[in-house]
Amino acid sequence: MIMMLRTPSGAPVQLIVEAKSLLRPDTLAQLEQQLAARGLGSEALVVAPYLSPAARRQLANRGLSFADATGNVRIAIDDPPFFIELAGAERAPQSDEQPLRSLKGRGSARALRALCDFAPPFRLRPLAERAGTNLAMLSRVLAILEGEQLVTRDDAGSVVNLPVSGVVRRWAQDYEFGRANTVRTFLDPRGVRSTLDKLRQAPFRYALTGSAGANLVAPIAPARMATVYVESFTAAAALGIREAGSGSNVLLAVPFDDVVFERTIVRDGIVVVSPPQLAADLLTGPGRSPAEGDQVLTWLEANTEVWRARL
Amino acid sequence: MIQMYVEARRTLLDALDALEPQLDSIVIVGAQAIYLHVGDADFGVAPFTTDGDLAMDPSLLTDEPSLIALMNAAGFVPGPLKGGAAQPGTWVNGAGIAIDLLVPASLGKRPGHRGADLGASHGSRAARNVAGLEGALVDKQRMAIPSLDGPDARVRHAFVAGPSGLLVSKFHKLGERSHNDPARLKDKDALDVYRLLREVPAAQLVSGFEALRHNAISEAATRDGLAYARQMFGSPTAAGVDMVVRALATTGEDPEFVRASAAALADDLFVEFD
Repeated sequence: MIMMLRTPSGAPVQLIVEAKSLLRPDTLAQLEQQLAARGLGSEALVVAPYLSPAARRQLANRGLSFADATGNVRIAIDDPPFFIELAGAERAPQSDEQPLRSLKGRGSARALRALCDFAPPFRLRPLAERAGTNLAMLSRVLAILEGEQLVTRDDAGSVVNLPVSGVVRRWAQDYEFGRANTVRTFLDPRGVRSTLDKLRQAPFRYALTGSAGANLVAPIAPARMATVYVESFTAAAALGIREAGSGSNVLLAVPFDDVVFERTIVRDGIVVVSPPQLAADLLTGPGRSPAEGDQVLTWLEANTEVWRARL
Repeated sequence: MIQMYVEARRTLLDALDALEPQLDSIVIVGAQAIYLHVGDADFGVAPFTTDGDLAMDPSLLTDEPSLIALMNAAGFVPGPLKGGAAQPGTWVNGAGIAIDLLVPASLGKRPGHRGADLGASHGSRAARNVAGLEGALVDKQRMAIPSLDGPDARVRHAFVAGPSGLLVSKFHKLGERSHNDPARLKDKDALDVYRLLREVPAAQLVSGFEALRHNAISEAATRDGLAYARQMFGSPTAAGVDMVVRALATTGEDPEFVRASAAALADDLFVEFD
């Protein structure tokens, strides 16, 4: 695209517009080469939705003109002499409008947990504040759920109905316990029960999930594995467990986000993750855990008054 | 409560009552002693048969009253012939439930014989020599032994071998049979070892073994017992570990976990005594 400007004296200035959806300082050299290959220098105008201060500085140093959608503009031409400099945003705008494609990331997880952990009806802003969640992300996650008719909002935008099991199942399509978290396997030679006993006295932050957690919430078959979120694998020493492959019965997970330690419940003296987190972890876990996840979903739907907080 | 446990406990209490005048010389050993320490450890496997095992300390046994007279008076008679030969030390009650009176082999006067020579009053058929029981006489504690039978309100106080003494004796039993008579190896004995290793705190086992190693009576038996243990439980695929896995085959315990666990627990003991 070619853009024509006129100087105050009426002289025409022709600019070749080079549009980029994203321009980072590290891709600038490449852009400069591309322009040079086409014989372009100061007559090129680089446009992008947003140009960071660093990118703008480097463009200016290279003598390239630019403009972004937030109003940052610098056009500097020697012949005819022409110069404009305007300041726009110093930070990348929140891309609120950009639809979210997946519920995989930690931001979505925080938003989903906030939506599941509190009983509707609620408005988004107070929920975001209470749950320590980004409001924009909350809206984007909600848009996905609305698109799949998993949530009902009233005319004022408040969430009035949100069936947790449907939302958790949708989350589990994109989330995966073993990929989202950093996990290592250990052996407690005295059995899962011994590890659970030690957790009751644990001096560090943890939250039990997986089959052993499910067993404390909705009794199922005795767990062969204790799956525990911890902040660091140094917890292994405190628990007296040793790293093991074959025969391991304790899985420590350093979580994708601290949200796993938030809004936990206590059962039998042991800290257990919030039931929606428990269900999501089980649904995406190995072996018979998805079936246990189904049981947890049945339980949490029937017992919302036990675990779901009021905003 | 399974009726078999009730019967076994009743017979054990009957024997303790019968032997009351000699009770200071007696220590409960075997599966019933293990049960008193660790219960059935949630494995869902019958923890003991109906037999009761009592170890005798010859140095604390008085000449009178005679063990024979005491046992007979309580209705116990010498056990049935086994394989054509009489089995010294086995006594049975009217229901056919056995009590075995056992003497640590190194303390008997007739090493090499089955029957333990306990002097003129008791003879050489009241009790039998068993290798590796020495630790039970050193590591022992007095415990209350209640009846498991509703109407039977008896509670008797008697010495029970401690976990370390019991382990030494089990290590001997497994190790000796593995060498001399593999056909007589019983998976249940290896499971008893695993029960103790898993349920008794490691620090308690280690201090128990320390005490046994520093006592002249039990020193040699403990050293030999640990050597047997290394052969039977020295790795996740050792013979004793195989036996534990078989004993737990129907319980839902993960065999790979049992292997890793048994070897790790045994190793915790070995590293203390290398």
